[in-house]
Amino acid sequence: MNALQRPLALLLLSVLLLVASGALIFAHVSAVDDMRDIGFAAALSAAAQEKRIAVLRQQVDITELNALTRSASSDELWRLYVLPAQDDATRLLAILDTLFLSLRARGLLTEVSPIEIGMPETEDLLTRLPVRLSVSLTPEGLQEFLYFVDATGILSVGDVLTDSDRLMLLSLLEEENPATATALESFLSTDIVRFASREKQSTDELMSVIASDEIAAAVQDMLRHSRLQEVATFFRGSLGIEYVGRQLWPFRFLRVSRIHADFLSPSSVRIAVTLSAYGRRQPSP
Amino acid sequence: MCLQMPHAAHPPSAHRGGDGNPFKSLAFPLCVFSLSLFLLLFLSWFFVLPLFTSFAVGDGQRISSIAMARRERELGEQVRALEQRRQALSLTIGDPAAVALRAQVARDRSLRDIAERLDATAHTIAGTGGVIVLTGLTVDSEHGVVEVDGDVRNVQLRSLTVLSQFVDALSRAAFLSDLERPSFVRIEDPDIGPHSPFHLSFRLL
Repeated sequence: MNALQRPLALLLLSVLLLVASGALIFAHVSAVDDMRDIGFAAALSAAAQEKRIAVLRQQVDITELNALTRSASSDELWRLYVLPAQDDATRLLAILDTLFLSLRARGLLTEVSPIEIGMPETEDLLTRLPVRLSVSLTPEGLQEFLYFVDATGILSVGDVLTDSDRLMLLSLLEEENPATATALESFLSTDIVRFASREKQSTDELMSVIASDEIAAAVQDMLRHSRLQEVATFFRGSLGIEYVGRQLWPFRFLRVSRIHADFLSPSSVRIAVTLSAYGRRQPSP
Repeated sequence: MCLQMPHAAHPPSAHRGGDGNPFKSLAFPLCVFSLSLFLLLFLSWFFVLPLFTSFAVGDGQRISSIAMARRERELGEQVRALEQRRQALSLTIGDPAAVALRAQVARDRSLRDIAERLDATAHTIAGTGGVIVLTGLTVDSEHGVVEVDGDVRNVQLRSLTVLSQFVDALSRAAFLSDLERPSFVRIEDPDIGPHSPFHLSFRLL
């Protein structure tokens, strides 16, 4: 290498090294920026998520274990009575007749039309039996009729609560000892009739495992504002007791498909209602 | 030009770098500086920077900020999956037919609920005192349609104004859409005086 070429090569090498150094400085700055803007927030969030995953895993494990040991009787009742595969019009009529007799006996119903049962229709996994009738009632009678329809398709406390109610319960109890999952599972699978007859005891059993007063108050508040009170009141009432006594509970799942109410006077309402009595669609052979 | 200057003119200090030309004399120190800087940064990138810009995740492993963000997303997905599993387990009956039916029923609005909402709207317009009277209500849950029959009375010749205010208030209500406005009519009745019967319908949201 001659005298001219050596300094030139050194200079070229220096320039290359300086460019590479510049790139490395830029990379350092980017790494620090990433750390500040992304890394810290992600690390904090990841730490919280890891804790949450540990709690959720414990809850899921406990709930799965309880579900395994849970009696299959509720599934059986559901298949036999709430969503039966066979249309049992006799039981359905007995349930409606009991309702109307009870309302009439208490002066809440003045007139009931013949009950018409239509042809079953199928939709996806379900069958639907249309039941049409007209009834003249007092406003209290109408309320009880609607409470009755709301109470169909319910076997346990968990059936009454909506998805958002259940999610709120689970989220509230997540803060607590994972053992609360067992108590919650037991509470949700409590038979609704049993719950109605010993509501305080069932609620106290759940509350006893909650250490935090704030969470206990929030859970109680949530339960108080759910439909649970309404349904429990129905089953505690004379009609609910009669249904249980005559072994007409569990009810078939009913839905009000269409209802027309004529408010005849402040003390009299006439309703024409189409109820859908649901059943399970039998798999094709 | 200056590279061709005679050796005798060179100061002793410029001997290694060249022949007194600053270009030649800077080349070697600049190269040493660049190389040192590069090596320092290179070593820093692999051995120093990770100490300050990475996170320990157990087993002595360290991950970068970007990897931490990815990990955080993965953990979020795990949380969601576990929540769904927990939610599914909290259902006392896991039968798909029952779950579908419950979801359908949960969307239904009851006669009671709609009557209460209509009464509340009527109350804000006309207060109590039987001014806006509901005489009939039809709720078709299958199609999400509601039909309302009623009458505006006990306000003398203002019955049409009150009815219009009631309809306007309903059209702004959040629980309904496609409000079909009623025909506005005032009828004289010897018993109840001027009154405006109405029929309207809307879809539930």
